[in-house]
Amino acid sequence: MSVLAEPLQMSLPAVHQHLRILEDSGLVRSEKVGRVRTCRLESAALARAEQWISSRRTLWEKRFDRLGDLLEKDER
Amino acid sequence: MTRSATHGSFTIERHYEASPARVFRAFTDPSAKKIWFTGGDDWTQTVREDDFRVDGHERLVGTWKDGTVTDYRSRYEEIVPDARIVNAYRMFMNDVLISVSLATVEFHPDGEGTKLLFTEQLTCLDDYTDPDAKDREHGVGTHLDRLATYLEREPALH
Repeated sequence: MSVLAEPLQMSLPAVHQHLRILEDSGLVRSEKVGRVRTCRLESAALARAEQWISSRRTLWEKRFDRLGDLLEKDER
Repeated sequence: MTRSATHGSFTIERHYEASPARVFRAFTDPSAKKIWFTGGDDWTQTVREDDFRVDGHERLVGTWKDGTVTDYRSRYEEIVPDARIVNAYRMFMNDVLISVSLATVEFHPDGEGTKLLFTEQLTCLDDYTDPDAKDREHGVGTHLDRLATYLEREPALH
């Protein structure tokens, strides 16, 4: 929690409140073990899909780079 | 497991100094296609099959450096020589179906060369993780950055 709050210009209780709202909306899951609360993003499907789409795009971009190299080489 | 389906699409545009016929040939000639249609440096091919005709199937299976096995299973929906290829494909990761896509490749004459347009519309399924560990790390970092930005931007709701 304090790690998450560190870069932010707000108090720890304010961060806590924000996280609770995010948690209520299903975007964040948190788990408390002893005195440490660990948060993880649960925007899951959407965030992972964005990530997946961008890595899929990168995969194809690399393929078309290789295709370009091949076409150049074939010309010679 | 949470069942979910999310949708996306992207288009890649490239110009090649080669005629549409030559670019198209790189999609039909197996010796050319195996050079560019791969997973890249961190990937080792284990299966490659390609039956290039409408209703024909293409398959590409490979193992990534981190041990993840990806399996591309495609079916050609439309082929217009030198002009267009449409295929539908499923992507499996470690035998789990993670996405279903429709891919359209267009070959347009562009001066002396070709403008290639690749459009993929995809449905991402359920709880997959990225095959590339580096991307995964980067992704997590990006998510956390996004969370920080979100938290900074939103006024405190007291």
